[in-house]
Amino acid sequence: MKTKLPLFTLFFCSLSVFGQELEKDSVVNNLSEVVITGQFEPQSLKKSVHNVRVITKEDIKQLAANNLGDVLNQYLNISIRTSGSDGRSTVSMFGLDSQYFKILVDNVPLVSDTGLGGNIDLTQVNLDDIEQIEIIEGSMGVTHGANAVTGILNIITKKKSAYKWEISATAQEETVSDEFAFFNKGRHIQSAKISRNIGENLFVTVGGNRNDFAGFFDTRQGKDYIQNDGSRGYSWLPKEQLTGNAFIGYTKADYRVFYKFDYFKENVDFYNAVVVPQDNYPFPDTHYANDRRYISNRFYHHLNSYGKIFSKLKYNISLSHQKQSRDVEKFNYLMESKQETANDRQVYQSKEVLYSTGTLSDFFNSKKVDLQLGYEIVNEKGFYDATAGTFKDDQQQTKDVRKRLENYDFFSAAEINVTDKFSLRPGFRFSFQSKFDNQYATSLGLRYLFSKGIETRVSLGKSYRAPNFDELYTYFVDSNHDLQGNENLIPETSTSYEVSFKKSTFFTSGLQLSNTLAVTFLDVDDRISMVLEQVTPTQQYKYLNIDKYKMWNVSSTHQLAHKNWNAKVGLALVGISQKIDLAALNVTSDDKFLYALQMNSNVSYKISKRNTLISVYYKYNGKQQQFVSSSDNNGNAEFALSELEAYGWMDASIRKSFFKNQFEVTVGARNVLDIQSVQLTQAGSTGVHAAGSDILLGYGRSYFLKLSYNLNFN
Amino acid sequence: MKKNLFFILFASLLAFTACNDDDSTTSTPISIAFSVPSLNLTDDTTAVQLLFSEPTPSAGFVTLTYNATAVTYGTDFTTVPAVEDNKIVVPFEANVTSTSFAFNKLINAIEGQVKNVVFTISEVSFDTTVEGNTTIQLNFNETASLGAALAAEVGGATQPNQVYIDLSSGAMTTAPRVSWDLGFYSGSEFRVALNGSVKMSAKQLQTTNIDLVQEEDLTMIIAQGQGVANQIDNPSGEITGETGTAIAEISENDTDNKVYLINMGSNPATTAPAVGSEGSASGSSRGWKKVRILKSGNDYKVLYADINATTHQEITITKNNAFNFTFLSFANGIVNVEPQKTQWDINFTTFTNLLGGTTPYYFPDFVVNNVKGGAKTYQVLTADFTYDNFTKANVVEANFNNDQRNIGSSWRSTSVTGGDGVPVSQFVLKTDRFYVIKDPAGNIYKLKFTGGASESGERGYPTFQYSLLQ
Repeated sequence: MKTKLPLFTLFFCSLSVFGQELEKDSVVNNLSEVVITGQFEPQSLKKSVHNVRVITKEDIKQLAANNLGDVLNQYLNISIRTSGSDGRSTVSMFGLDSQYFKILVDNVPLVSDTGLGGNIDLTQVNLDDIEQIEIIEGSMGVTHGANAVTGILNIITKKKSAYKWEISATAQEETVSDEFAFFNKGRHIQSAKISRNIGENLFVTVGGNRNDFAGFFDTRQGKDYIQNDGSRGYSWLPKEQLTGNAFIGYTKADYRVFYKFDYFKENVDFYNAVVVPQDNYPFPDTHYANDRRYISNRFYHHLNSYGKIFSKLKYNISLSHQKQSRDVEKFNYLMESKQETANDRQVYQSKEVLYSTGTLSDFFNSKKVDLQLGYEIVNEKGFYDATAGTFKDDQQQTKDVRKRLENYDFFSAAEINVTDKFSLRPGFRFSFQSKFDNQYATSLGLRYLFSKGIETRVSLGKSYRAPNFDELYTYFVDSNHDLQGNENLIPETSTSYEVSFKKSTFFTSGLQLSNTLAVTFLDVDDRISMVLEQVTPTQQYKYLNIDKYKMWNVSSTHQLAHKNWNAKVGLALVGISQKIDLAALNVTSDDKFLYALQMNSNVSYKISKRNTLISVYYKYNGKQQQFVSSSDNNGNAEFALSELEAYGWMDASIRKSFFKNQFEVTVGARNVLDIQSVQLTQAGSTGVHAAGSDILLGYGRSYFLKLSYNLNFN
Repeated sequence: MKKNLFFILFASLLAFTACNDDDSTTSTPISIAFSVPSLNLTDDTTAVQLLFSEPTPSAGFVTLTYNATAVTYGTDFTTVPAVEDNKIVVPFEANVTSTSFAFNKLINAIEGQVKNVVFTISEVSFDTTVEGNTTIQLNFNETASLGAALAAEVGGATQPNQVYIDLSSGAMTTAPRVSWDLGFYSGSEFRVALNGSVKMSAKQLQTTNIDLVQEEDLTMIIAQGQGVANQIDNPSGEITGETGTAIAEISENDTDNKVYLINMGSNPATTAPAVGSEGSASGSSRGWKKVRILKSGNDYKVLYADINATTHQEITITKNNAFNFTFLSFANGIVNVEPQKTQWDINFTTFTNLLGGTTPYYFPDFVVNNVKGGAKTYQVLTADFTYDNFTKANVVEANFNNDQRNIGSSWRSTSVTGGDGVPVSQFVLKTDRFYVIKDPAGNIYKLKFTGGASESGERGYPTFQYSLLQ
């Protein structure tokens, strides 16, 4: 695979204008983005003690992103892992999977089939209603609790409008690789939304979205194919998603209350490659297959109130009930008559969550010191069908898993503005757990504003990841097998450190520059892994807290805006060290740091006269290395270096608006470089190429056309 | 105004792209056929059945013509409804999937005579396709079956039964796998076979004293990758020679006939395994025995006991040339298992095979042919011939050999690799092959497997179709 670098050369040349910088520090940052995540109150990015990264609505629009995965594909330090077999896309940040990264909507963690905030399927997060996305990297246990190990992502939804009426409708047609037909191939998206300000204080929004992915055939032959040669079905499963949402908000002076409701439904069809002939003697055979579909439903309720009590203390309370369940419906699909028989639907996985968080702040009538006290209550009820994992009893009969987890957390943070330029932010959280040992987290943040627009931030944070159901409750013991979860596991704990610098510069020519540099260190201890605990007389596998992980990362981003040009480039070097212990096999992996480089970039050019914006996004993911356990020629356990080849990801679009911006057309291509998978090679002990497989990244280049209609009036 | 028009246009575009053309269910035309292509008239009156592929939409009639060989309507046979104008009109009701007429045999054939009547479907009162068995041949004396579809009752996922199939008569004989322990060969040699369907194994001891206490030997147990090749019978069906049965040929000289330690193998599971798995050998151990076998004239004399016993039991077993083996159960004495050796062709059973010639490996869903009785088989790939087009002219005699495993487990696999390269664990019928079987009487059939699992995926429900090649 080739990587294309000319863009970067261009960027670095343009950065050489640095030398002609003019003193313009008095100019207030006109990109004064307001952020919410991790703040006591919404405030400007510049004032934030945390290093908050923002993905704007404009970015989402230019990517014509239809789910969160499309957006994060271009984000530095994040890789997206996709699966054609279940259609899920998940985050991998710093080499740790989505269980370590927490996704929130309006500060409330989002439920998934299996977790709260973690292990989110990015394709299930709709982007219609988004104002902006805020990301904080590092362990954010004090403000965001469990599973905020590598970072958090907070989706801020839109809660107000400048118009009395806002009506919008969108249709998007997208090819899937080179497959497209109006109904049964490709991707088809429709959405509509109406918002209204009623009187002075009330704001109401109702919207809906349908995202119909007809599947990716690739070399497969679809559901009506009757040859038993492994070609039946789809390479990527067809998936249809429906979302509906409603928002009602009331604002009066210092008081604000809103209620938000989201409904999500997803239907994924699995068509088995195995075709079963049906004997109809004396008539010809007919054919059927044991197919199934997964039906997910998510209900999200969020009630938030903000105001003042005792005419001074500010409170902010959220109450949320969320439920996501995934049902599996098994059936036999008869190819000749195109009918389904023997339908049998049952719950596969489900998660129901009652959640509340609240804060009190502004205790002192002082600009120097602010204190925040907060609580978080989580009550999760989880269900795993026996077939969703390896859950059996001693009689080898399958056993469903049903468990309730609760935690009651209290946290406190102070913000001390020593001077206008220097702020300090210590924090502490204590978590009372029903299932695990009580947990605590601490954090410390510093911010210093140097002259010449240089901002410096230092932060230290802690968090933890709670063991999941597989790790706790897996059980399969018979005369040949011994595979056990471990109810005595303790949460994995993490600590992160970050130092970052940011400099914004404005030139008289109108050129604006923004440069950042950040160095991060992350340490995760007591990592959970399934290991061989005993070899003789029988092999026993068990989940244990046994491994260690360390990561350090240097990243730098540069943004440039001049006249109609806007360009961004980011660079990150990530070094990961993992100590993987194979327990009873007496082999431990080399824990040396293995490095990988990532770059992302974005250029856009606005043709003002034509109301047209051209933008290109490109991300380069360098070669990634990892030690994986394997066995040598004599069957003894050892560690081998596996390498994932470098690859690039490019998205491009042209957007043009008509009729006073009422009508907007976006055409573009996603995955321009046509990446479907990258090769994973694993060196054997002899250094010879021993094994190779591919990691699936996408279904190839696709083209899209998006039509949007916006009508705003008073 | 333009604004509104635009919005309406847009809304209709949304509605358009949101539509799905729902798959309409296609109606396949109804087919009609005789239930079998031939029948032997063993009774005076035989019901001859016609089948519809779907329930009939209305009441109506099927018109049949006939062609009689060496028999005459009225004197040698009659039918109900009666023949008129050389035709029989058989009525049927609405919403039925079968109808039938009665055939009355008025004379009996003498052995060797060819007397039969062939009926042909000529017309149906509504639009149908005549396919499958378009004719039926009714034979006045015993004649090899032209074919049928059968389901061998091996008994589901734990496969508790061995099922013996006689293709020429369509007869199936079922015996529980655990009903016997040793088989005593009826041929000229004195050989004793183990019940490989329950994973039995035998180890020769140094002693000739059956009353010595013996101990279990766990290395004899056959499990994944475990077991000793020369402690099981030659899986090819070869019974004589060095590589024949695990128990050596019974000698005239009693001192050569050592005591054998017998691992009795495993019972089928008592609880049904998860759907898609099999439990044919995951039950309890069947225990251990010791046995010493002597020759007694033309009979076998068997001394046997539990391994910790200091006394023993004795039984004499007489050869019966009509059968391949005489079967002994330590618990119940002599038992019936196989049909007579000329009256079965293939056997559905679980089986202890050898992998790579050295490692015993146990297979459920196995099929062996009656090589000792003279039934032989070979496999044909559909890449070379389709099942329907394969005729007697395509049979290659040289492909028949003396291995009883030519069908074996080759008709199915237990996983399949999907198009994305990921293996799916599921019972999979291989539809790219069928088999040619020559029975002990020399009739040659083609046979294809049509299933091995129930509709819900439970293993142990094999079905097959076969047809006489002529």
